[in-house]
Amino acid sequence: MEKEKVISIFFQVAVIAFTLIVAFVTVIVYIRFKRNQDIRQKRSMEKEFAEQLKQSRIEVQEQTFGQIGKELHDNVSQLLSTSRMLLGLTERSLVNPPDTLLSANATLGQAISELRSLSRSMDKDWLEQFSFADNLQTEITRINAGGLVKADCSLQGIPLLASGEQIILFRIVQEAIQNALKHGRPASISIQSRVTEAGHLITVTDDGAGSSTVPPDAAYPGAGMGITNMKLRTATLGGRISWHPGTGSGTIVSIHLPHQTPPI
Amino acid sequence: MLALYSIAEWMAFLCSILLFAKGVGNGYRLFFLYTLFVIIIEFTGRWMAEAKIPNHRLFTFACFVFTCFYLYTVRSFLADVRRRRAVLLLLGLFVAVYIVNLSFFQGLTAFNSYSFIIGYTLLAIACTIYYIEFIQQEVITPVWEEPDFFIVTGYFIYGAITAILYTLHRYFAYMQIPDVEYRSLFRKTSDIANVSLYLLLAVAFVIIWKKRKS
Repeated sequence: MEKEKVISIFFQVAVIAFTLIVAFVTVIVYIRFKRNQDIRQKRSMEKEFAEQLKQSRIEVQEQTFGQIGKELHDNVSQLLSTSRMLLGLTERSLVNPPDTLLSANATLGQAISELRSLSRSMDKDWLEQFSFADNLQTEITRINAGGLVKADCSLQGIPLLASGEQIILFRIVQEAIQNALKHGRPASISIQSRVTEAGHLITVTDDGAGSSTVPPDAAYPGAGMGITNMKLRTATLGGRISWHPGTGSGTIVSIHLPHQTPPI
Repeated sequence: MLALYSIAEWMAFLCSILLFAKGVGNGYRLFFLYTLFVIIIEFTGRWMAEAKIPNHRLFTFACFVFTCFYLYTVRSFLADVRRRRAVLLLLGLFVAVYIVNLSFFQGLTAFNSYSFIIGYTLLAIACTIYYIEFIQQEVITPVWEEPDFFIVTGYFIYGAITAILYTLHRYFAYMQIPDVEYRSLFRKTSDIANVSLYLLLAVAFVIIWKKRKS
């Protein structure tokens, strides 16, 4: 074989080999790049889907609350009002109405007032007219009106949230209060909100029998669903929620929310 | 004056010192010994050639160690057990081919080119196995943050080119064409493969160093 021919064969083989190898590696890099894009897109879609799922769960809950609230106001409250009216008529028809009747009438009046307050706090449309602070104050008044538990709140810095988000935050606090009332049987409940370096910290502290058993599912037996909802709602606000044993007795629920951009 | 591939070797060696930084995985530090061994072998081989001492045995042994090292490191980069086992099988096959060739065919008198044609072909297959895992990974790390990819690509370019060159070399020898006619081109092509390997290794070492845990 001639020298030129040998060199030519060698050169051609070398060039083809290099080209094929470089092309192969380039294809690998391209496939990886496309795959990275697909994975990113898939994750973003999954995240979006999870967000939508959370949002729709909350919306369904809000609708259910609203329906219960309306039902309490339009049906149960009306029935109770009619009963009170009948009691009043009976009271007036008697010369000396018995004390038990007077007491029953007064208690029924208190129950109607409580029920109206409760139904209003469940109505989203009503909630949207007020701020988180106003709603919370109404809730505190309602608890104090019962006379069994002393509730107070100290709000030194409230997170700047859109009305929809304020409702979510209110529902979390409301659930924390309800858990304390139902499962802890406290003498007092205190709600505090303050600004921290990381954002806002809202605490619901009770001195009940919540004891030192955390996690909360154990602290409040039977409160599993409510706790899950609280976690879900806090996650929707981009925050985190934690339960700690209180000093002495009771439980402290801490809601940490990041700094928010003011609602437009 | 140093040849281009020698400069690339030294670059890889100097960059491999970075692997001793705190937070770099211990396994990667083996590359320091590898690059040091490459430089020692290269230096010794050149000295033997100048002293007119045959250096076939030295390179036959060194290339065996290097190929085993390449296959071993590719295996360690894999996460899937079956793929690791496959590369281990390739390593076992190479060792068997090397021993058979050394014992019954090329012996110690000539450079064991048959062993390395098969060895580098097996290395290219091992690299392809790595690439399959690489494109199937459920992570979104960019390629330039994957040192293992650069190392394996270095092996792949070097292994595939070298296997083709030696095959061609054996073919020309079979056709009784003296290697003087294409020696220069053979060396140049071989140099490009070497430079590619050591430069990609150097890049990989820098990436490992940059990605170290603080």
